[in-house]
Amino acid sequence: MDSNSTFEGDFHGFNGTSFNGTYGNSTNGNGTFTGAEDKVETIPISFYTPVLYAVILVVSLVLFSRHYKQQRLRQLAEQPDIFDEHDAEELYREIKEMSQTQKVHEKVLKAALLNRGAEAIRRTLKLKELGPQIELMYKSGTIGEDYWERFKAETKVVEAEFRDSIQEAEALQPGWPKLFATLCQEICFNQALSRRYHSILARKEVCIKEWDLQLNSDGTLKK
Amino acid sequence: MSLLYNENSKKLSLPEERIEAAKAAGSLEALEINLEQVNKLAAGIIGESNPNFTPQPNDERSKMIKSMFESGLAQLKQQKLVEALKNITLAVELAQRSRMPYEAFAIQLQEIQFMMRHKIDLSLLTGRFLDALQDIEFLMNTGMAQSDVFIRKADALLKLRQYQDAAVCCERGLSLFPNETKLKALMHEIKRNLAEFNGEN
Repeated sequence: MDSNSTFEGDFHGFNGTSFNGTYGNSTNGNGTFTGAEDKVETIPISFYTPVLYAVILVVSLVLFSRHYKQQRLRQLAEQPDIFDEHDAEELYREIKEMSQTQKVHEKVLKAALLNRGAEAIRRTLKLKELGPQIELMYKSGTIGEDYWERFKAETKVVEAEFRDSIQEAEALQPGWPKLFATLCQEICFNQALSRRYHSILARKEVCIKEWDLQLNSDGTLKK
Repeated sequence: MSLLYNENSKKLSLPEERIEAAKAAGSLEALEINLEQVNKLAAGIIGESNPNFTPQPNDERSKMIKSMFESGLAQLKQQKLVEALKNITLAVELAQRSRMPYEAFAIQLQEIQFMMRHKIDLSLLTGRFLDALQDIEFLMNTGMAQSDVFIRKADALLKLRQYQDAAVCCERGLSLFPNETKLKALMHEIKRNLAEFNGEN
């Protein structure tokens, strides 16, 4: 009977404490812990506490990402351009600005926009030509992370520049962009041809100087 | 004001202070090239009555250039080499000046390369080796890498007594066209001249 009553008592004790809400009680049957179990207090927390936690977390993440993005953009903006001038774009903007205060023929503005588009195509082609070599140099460690970033940023800038030119073309003459892109491509190639043609004279002068040539007025060599 | 615009001629130009500033910054050449390009394009577009103009080449200009070039060829047949060279040079100039940048590139390239080849031959025949050399460089810069271009360049350099450059040109030509007999003969000639220049003979 004694043993039975003990068992029952234990059993009650077990029942009475262990499933009252805390896992700590799973080691019951051992009287040592029963005192500690009694001291566990449930602190009532507000419904808003986890919400506040979540809000703080999300806000801090958003702030961090915004700050990081701004820092990255600032770093990218501070990097020097691969192309050292933006005359085509600047000329277009200047002419557009001028047309608001002064009477400028509409086709002059169109010409400046075509020149800007052609320049964007030229830069796109140059970057595409350079792309595989730069990637190879980056992978082999010849150029650093900063130049690689510059190259990637420049590619995006040039693409954006061409897209912007197309939008401007649409604004100038609705429905023009399709033809505009074709014209820009032809202009780009023809301007390259023209630049090569016009460099003939300058190169001739350099050759005369470097090789110390004596020429007659008709271009033949002096004997 | 950073740009000057002439309402009558519809041309843009740079004010003095901007020229000075660009000169100081070393960017004047690029700026002038761009301005020239815009002016040329504007002049062409203003002449177009169709707002949706296409890259189609202008027939009138094509006729003018062709007739000028053909008159040069006619003089060549009469063995008037200097006159033929003048007319062909004028035809090349006309093509460069009158053709608009938006006219089809493929046609413009073909046209100028064809005329340039004749101009180079005439320049070499009349002893204008430096002019011929510059025109050959132009052909090479526009992607023409044929054996006869290398032969003419090596020949022009040889006549200008630039033996080292002529040898380099010949070697380049021979690497692309190893069976070209004229290039091989030129290479021999250049080597002989180089040896003589270096006092070996």
